[in-house]
Amino acid sequence: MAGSPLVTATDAQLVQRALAGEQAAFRELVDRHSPACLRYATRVLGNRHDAEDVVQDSFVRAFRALDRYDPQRDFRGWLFAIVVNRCRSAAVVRSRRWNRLVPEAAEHRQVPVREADARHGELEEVQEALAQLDPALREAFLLKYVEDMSYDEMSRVTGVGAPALRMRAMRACRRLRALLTGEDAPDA
Amino acid sequence: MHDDEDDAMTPETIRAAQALRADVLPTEAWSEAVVQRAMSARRARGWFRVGAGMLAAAGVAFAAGLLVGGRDTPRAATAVAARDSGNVPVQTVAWSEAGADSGIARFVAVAPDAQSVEVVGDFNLWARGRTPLARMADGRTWSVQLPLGVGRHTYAFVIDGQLVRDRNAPASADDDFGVPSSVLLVQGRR
Repeated sequence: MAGSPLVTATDAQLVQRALAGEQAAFRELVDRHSPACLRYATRVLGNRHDAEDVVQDSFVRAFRALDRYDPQRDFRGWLFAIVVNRCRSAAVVRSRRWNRLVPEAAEHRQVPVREADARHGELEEVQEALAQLDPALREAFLLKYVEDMSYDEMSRVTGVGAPALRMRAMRACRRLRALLTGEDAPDA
Repeated sequence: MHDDEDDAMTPETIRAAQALRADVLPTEAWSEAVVQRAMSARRARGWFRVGAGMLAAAGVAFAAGLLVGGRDTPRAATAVAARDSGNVPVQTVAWSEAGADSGIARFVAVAPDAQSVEVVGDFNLWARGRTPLARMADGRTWSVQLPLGVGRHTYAFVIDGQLVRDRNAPASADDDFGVPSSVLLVQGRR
């Protein structure tokens, strides 16, 4: 794709070209945005397999709704709103299935990270701590500190007010620190 | 990098965020599969743009003859009146043509005292203000038609700003936003 005008087109231009039937334009949108979407979904869901399913479904839904995309709006935020929603749904379904099949899972999730498995690398250790956060806190932490969104962007993506998101991000930091250090969090 | 104060960030959480930023890159096969799945959905969208117009114009009967296409058509109003007499149920329904990848859903809410009714669901990202229902000729029933992909969809009505589950449809057990919602199935290929 190097040298193609697609790589210099804006997201809004790519959307218009995709709507006109240019498959390569949609592929460019997938190439641009799928790494961040996959990363977010992988961190939320805890594994790449589920993340790939969710993000693929999100892109298909986005494509179906492409003619309703407002070019004045940030495409990444628009797409992330879909991804965030699909992750929420997938997490709920999986949680119910998990709790039904493995009742002791809740106890397992309370094990302090540092005692859980000393063999894990740093990313695995952090991922395991992240999995112990309340879903709303996890979502806020990832969007804010991993995807580098502003609170206004996060608000548009999640439908939650910026002040509430700020509070969630702060609580997520405190809880995450407590999990990683083994110290009690003030409001955990 | 951030536009707000990061008072709660500590060396531990900064390190955690850095670790979580590690790339999760797509494979070529996965990316191609995404595009191909989306393209197959595009064919369905093309069908809708033609098919929906044809359906509305022709007043094609659907869903076991409950209602007809076209917003607030006389025949639709007739169907509502018939429901009131107990003969014909009026409810949210969906239908599709044989072999199609998408169908059309008609959302129906009975809200005689409402000032506004809209539908939110996974198909419009649960965003308010995008999909209003129109009041039908009987003055108490509201409806809207939408193209939907084949499959299972969850939705709820927003009546005068309040989220309300469609009680004429099965309740959803895994709604997207933790609010009571209903399920609508758009039948697949036959």
